[in-house]
Amino acid sequence: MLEAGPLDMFYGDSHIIQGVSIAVREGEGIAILGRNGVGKSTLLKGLMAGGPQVRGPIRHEGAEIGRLSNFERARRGFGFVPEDRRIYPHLTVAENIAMSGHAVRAGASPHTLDEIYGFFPMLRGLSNRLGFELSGGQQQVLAIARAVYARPACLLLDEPTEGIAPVIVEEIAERLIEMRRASGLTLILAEQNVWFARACTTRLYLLDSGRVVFSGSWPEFDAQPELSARYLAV
Amino acid sequence: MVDYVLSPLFNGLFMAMVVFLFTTGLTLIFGILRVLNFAHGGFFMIGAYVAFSIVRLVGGETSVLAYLAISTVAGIVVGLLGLVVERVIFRPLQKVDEAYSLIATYALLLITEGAVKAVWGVSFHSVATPDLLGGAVFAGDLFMPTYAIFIIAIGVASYALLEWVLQHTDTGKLMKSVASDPWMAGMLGVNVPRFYTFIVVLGFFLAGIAGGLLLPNQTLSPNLASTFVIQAFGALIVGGMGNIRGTFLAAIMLCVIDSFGSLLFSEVPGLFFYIAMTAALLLRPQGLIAGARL
Ligand SMILES: Nc1ncnc2c1ncn2[C@@H]1O[C@H](COP(=O)(O)OP(=O)(O)O)[C@@H](O)[C@H]1O
Ligand SMILES: [Mg+2]
Repeated sequence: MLEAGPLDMFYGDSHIIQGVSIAVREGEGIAILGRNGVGKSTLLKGLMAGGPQVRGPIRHEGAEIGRLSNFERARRGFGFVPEDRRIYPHLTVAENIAMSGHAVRAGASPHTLDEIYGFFPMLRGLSNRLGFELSGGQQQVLAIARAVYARPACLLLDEPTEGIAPVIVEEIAERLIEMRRASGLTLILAEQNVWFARACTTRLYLLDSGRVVFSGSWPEFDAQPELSARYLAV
Repeated sequence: MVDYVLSPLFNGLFMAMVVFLFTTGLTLIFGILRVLNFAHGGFFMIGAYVAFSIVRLVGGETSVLAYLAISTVAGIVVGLLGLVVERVIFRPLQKVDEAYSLIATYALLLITEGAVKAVWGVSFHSVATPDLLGGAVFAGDLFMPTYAIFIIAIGVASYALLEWVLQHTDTGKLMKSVASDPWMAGMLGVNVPRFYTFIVVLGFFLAGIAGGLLLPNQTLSPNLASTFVIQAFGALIVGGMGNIRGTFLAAIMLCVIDSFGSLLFSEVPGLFFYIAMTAALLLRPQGLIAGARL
């Protein structure tokens, strides 16, 4: 559904992403792995027209989308959960979720709040709570729920497990696996948590200094243990 | 009691509502787009001139209703100018450093002054207050011009309406959301550029309608653009930079203090406005209502 690259991305004069190509098929889940600072967030933001200058083709279902602005990409079915979550502090949980109603694709309708609370039960009791009253884990789940509300075809998640309690990490993993199975959701996941990435995706791209140093399936990755030692271990 | 308390309080409130009506559009645009529109007074002035021309065209005395309708038309005309200004000036400014917006909107202020001179000339004009608002009300010894009472009522009603829209309607919540995080709003599918256009048009509409409403109180000349600039920036800054409630409270605080101050020190009118503004900024540099946008 998405074919991008080779892509170069820049912040001012800094050449952050260097010749990266990624592709993801409808319903597939891919992980972008790499240490802090290798360019995972930059890559996701570039795909969403969210900051870096981007050079190179980005094709979605055959159409070049590289010139579209962020809201147009959102309305083509890309749901983005950024690294800093960006929950609106002055809006309630329910209002935060409904914000992505603007991204609903033409002719489609969003989920109901009730369905969303069915997927993410921990939010149900918090429906009228304001964004700033939530814990980090609650905010992360809300950020994902908000993206899901618009029924995106493809979800881009930037390190959803960072700073989150293990129980919530497990719960998020279960939800993502279930949604991929039930609705054929496509997933692009930037992560450092290998357990979580493996649980949610079938393939991975390993980044180092803005370049892809490995791409392949999880068994292929496991067959080369030196990759993990060299590019992931701290 | 009347001379030293009620009368300055009333005058201060009247001036505060004049300043608030003048400043709402400026606050709205700054609160959401973070563009400080130096030309705001110029468009307020154009609103006043447009209203003046309509009054002339209709001729003679106007009713209160006609006066409100004429002010609304002035607002619509200026709102349409806002549509052009947004496309030609504000939109490109979103992509460059903030310093450019000061220069660009200052240049725009000069253009509005030039345009007013070209269209309406440099002579001074004035417009009579609508008959019904021309009188005065006495409460004991307190003298209150009907027009001033009317402006205070309009000011408070406008504030209440804006506050209600911001706090309780979907549009208001969207305004606050786009103001606080336009980037995420875009990621969630909000057409932020179009929303900015809407805000600029609304801000200019408010400038134009204020020009019409305050016309009976003003002498029309190309200097009108800068008449309220100091008070407006004072209310905007003390209010917390782009916050409607803060602007409303700051306008009241500054103008009422100034009104009492001028009893003590009538030689330098407006002196206490600056003193109050300086004191407010020293005590609360973040503004009366900090943090919250709009
Ligand atoms: N807004 C920015 N401006 C300039 N440089 C940035 C910006 N954001 C990130 N960078 C730089 O880009 C590089 C990659 O960062 P990032 O994409 O956040 O990495 P990751 O998500 O893999 O930790 C880092 O060197 C970082 O300092
Ligand atoms: Mg990151």
